[in-house]
Amino acid sequence: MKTILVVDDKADIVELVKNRLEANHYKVIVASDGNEGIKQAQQHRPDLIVMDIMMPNMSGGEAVKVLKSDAATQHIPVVFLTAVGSSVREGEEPGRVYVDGKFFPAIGKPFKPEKLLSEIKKLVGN
Amino acid sequence: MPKPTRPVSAATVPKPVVPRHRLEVGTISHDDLVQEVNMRKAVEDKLRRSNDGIKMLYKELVKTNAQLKEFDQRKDDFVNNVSHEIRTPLSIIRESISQVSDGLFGKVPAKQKRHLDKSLVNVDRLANIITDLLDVAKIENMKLQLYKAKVNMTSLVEDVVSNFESKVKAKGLELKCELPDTDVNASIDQEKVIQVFVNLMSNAIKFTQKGHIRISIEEKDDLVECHIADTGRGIAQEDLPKLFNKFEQIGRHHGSAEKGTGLGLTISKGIVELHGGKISVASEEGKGSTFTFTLPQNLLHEGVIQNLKSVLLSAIEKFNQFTVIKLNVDVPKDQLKAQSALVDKLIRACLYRKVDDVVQDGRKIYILLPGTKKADCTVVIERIKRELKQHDNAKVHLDVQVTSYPDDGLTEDELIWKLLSEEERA
Repeated sequence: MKTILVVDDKADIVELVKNRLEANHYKVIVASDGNEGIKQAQQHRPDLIVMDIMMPNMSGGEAVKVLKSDAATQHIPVVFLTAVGSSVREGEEPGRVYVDGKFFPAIGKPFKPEKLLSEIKKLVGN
Repeated sequence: MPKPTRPVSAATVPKPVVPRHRLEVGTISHDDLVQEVNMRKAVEDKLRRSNDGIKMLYKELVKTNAQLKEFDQRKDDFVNNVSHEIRTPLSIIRESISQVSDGLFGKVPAKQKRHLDKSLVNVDRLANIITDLLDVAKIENMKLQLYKAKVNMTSLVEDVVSNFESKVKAKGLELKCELPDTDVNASIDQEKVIQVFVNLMSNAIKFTQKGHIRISIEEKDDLVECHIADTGRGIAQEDLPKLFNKFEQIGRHHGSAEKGTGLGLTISKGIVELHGGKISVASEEGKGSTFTFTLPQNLLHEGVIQNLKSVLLSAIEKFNQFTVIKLNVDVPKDQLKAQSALVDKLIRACLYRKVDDVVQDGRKIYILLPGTKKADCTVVIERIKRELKQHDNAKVHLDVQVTSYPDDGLTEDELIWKLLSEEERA
């Protein structure tokens, strides 16, 4: 069973995403900001990270920068799940978020669960 | 009236100077002199006061400007925050409804499910309105950021069109797609350009009851011209000028159930213009509409420069010195594709060392020679010229430019700036 780390400061979102992913047979671990997300990622080496952007203490973008510069975590794919900006417009395809010279897939909030699931499936299988 | 001979600054106010020769000539009476001195003093006082005034005004302006900038920033933050603050609860509402509707907590009767799904559709609509409003705000404040990269427009359009196929079929319309057989590349923000196509396609389908939707793109000089044509109800002549205005929903009084935000065309226009292109419409009521927009190909920039940048950066890290030769290859445009492969092959044959690197883009070729001084690269240039001359097929004219590290620049940005022509820098 694949493990997914969900990082979001809103408990309701964490609960809902966890619920949805577990219903689709993923194991889910959670964190409530960038700092905690990095710790969880380093400790548990999840197969994928679902990352919010705007969070207190450390933003999702900052956290991804750190994760991508750490040899232990740099291979872990990241999908942003964010309410920030229109770069993540809910179109036919997932949007993109630009962090440190690289594009990452991004799904805008409010999200369609089938988009989140298909993006995850594309990156780690199920 | 006599004027002060120098501009007056508050710091050094010149003392009134009475021209000596006029005293010597002795034609001015004492009273006249006193009067003139007083007058000059009065003028100087006035000047000093107005100068102080200007200085104060300037200070005020600097302060106001800083305040305005801060206000502008706060407004942007506010717009972004409001969007964020609305989207977060919306996503909680949406996903909660969605999980109930999907039966994650038990089976849902069909009647209930219908209502839940109706809620979902409207949450999505609300989210789209917020996104559109935010886009318009950004476009109007010139804050919409483009992330450009080299994109093959032919396959981009194919992808967009394939996403609409079922929708078009469901309405009993025909979908015609006229694309060139070859790649048509342009340096664009893929997501934003897709947004334009999606907006125009959605409109075309929305307002067409029978007939077809036709999409085509073609290369024209250094532009890509895109057309989205329909055989729909068309637009009245008097409505055409208003079409790209905000919240202008021309079709609304027709009473059909179209639901848009009235911002799609405003956003499309903004995106096209940010790319340096133009958008226009031709329409006849009852016959249909054709929207046309252009996007400059701008192929020299972005992708290649990014590539060149990383090549230069790693060269700076690895070598104490190196030289970059830039060749501007003069080939007629229709022969460019055929010639560039040949030229690339010939040039690579002239480079004997493994560390030498070639970055090519259309007419521009950058050759990186690690460890080579500026003066020493002439050998390589001569070799390349000879090689190209020997090949009758390579009908090229070379224009050579040389830039060296560390002589011409210490960072990759400085070096690139030196390598680019003025029009490329723009």
